[in-house]
Amino acid sequence: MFCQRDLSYLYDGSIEGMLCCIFEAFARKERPRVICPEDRFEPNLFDWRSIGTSSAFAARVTAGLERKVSPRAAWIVQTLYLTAHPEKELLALDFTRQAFRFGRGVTDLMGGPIVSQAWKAVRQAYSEAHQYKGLTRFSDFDGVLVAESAPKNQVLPLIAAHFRVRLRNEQFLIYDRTHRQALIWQQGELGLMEVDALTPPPLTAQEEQTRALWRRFYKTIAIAPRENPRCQQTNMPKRYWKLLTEMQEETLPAPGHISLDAGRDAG
Amino acid sequence: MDLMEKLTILTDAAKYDVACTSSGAGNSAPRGQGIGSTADCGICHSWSADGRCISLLKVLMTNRCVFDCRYCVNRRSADAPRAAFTPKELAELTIQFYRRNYIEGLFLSSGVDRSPDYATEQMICTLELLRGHYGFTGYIHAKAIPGADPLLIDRLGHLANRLSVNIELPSERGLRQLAPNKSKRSILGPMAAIRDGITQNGEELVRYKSAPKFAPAGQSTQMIVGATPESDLQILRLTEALYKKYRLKRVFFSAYIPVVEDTLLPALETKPPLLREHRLYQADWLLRYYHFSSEELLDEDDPQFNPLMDPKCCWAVRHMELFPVEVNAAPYEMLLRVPGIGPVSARRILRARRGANLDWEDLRRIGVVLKRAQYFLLCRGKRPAGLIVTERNTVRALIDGAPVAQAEQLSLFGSELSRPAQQLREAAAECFVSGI
Repeated sequence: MFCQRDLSYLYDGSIEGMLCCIFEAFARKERPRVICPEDRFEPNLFDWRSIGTSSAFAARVTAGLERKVSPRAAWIVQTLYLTAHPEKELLALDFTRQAFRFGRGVTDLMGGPIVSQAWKAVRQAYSEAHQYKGLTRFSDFDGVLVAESAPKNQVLPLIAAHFRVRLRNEQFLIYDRTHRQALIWQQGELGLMEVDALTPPPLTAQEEQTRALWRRFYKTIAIAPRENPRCQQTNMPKRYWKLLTEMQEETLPAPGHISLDAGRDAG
Repeated sequence: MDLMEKLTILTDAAKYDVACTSSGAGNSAPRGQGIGSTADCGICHSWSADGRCISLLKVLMTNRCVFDCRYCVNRRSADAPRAAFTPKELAELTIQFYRRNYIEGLFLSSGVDRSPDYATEQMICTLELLRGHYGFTGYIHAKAIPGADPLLIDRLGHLANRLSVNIELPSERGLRQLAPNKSKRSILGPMAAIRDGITQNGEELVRYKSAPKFAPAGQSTQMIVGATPESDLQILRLTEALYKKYRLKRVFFSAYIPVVEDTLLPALETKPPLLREHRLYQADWLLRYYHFSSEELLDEDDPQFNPLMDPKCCWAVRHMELFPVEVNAAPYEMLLRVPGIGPVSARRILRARRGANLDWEDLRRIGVVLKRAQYFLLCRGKRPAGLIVTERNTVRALIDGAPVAQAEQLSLFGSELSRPAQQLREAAAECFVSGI
């Protein structure tokens, strides 16, 4: 039996740190009231404990789940770390307890309060990632493609493989404003980095022209007698609009003949 | 003419085409030179002001056309500005949009410039540039032009992920009247050829893994609804036949939007029959994912869809004797027939009930929406606490709110306009129950 403790676990904010909190809770057979990253801790009346991060302990949690429960259960715990669930660490702990109690079938117990919450959080993260596969907008800065995003969940690791394959011969950077991290693909290397802020350089004329063409396409493709702003907004909620080229005010394209052939060797 | 102007004209001319899906091509992981990949589920990149998803760069190669189909904005006799992309322009534009992740790929169609063969050759030229020079491995949907040489269509099919031939109108009579340059034969001919190409290619792929792929994401078509007087039943039967005989992946419907003044067509101020289009799509879904057949949904006595209720609910109301079903025991096929339960919910129920005997609270947590389903289900032999199930209650819960609200707006109910929506719903339910 785990005993409920009026206690906060603090960790370094990494996934390994979170797994070590789970390890600690199992070792002591206790369930803390709060598990949260140090930098987000708001002191309360209760005691707190700082949990050190150890790769070995973290690996034991994952290996234990994979071997004694199922790879799928281990995947749920790992994905929970990426979600925007406000108590994702506690949920991961509760789920892990259920996993060891029920074994293989735990991921099927979708009617239960903990497993259903875990699935819901994971599903939401994946569905936001899917949205961002479509709604990410790159701008070309001298051959480097740069995009900004503001997801609720940490979607960068979930969309990394998709963009790496798709833009395999490009260099790109996707910045996540919410979590201040950036996904970078350069010379065949993929990396996830902490980045505090992103100040893109001024747009080139060619970039402005391509944007103008896209905005024109976007405007023209809509059929006026079928206009349906509600449907548009349901599918593409307003929080995305500030990131979307086509939803920004039209900037006038540079005068003269617009040609995309200029200045780029497409071979 | 500059590129901006061309893009405007050729997008405007292509926008009435409905298909914009990028699904069904499998998840690809190409390596080496080039750009692009496909995702089996398809990816929407934006939604335009009409609420339709934008996945592909949907343009015409050219809007010059020698055909004179009466319903079409691009018909020969129309007074419209004409333009044509060069293959190079269009290929470069596609790549520039694709790099920035504006689009999932290209949807290329064309007016019949000079001849079906010439128009098809121009499209092939563009796709060869994209696939060859740019190494584009993303999604391409190309439209086959009726009357083009089978060899050209075959070449097109080897370049595109998906091919489609527009069936245009749901009956041959409609075609004769409104599309004099096209015939049932000129449309179904290429459709059958593409089907056979896909089948043959499938066999080749079994033998030689490296056989070049022919339209791997399959074939689709579209038809205009509301320009000619066919009933919903006729359209649905045709759709079913297209799925069965021509093994299409999708049939799209397009509510007719009057763009042309013509004595044979509905008047210009006619509103597009959007609700009817919506009902057809609902029924189409029932055919493809819910194991329904067209006879179950409509028959000669009742050949039109009900505006107040979706086709699945209509079916359920007519088959109350089959319900309620026990959540913990009902087979998948039966769960799928419960209003409010779709393939996702049904599969989740199947998985969740393996390890537990589900009650109503479990069902809610699984994510099943119970608003309509609760009238048709039992959990551990019980109805939901406090729910009184009568025929009238059930029907009232199934009435589609949107058309009722719309009817109120348009005052279709005449003097009843002043009645609040709740009462209108009541009145609609009344009509329904007395009609059963």
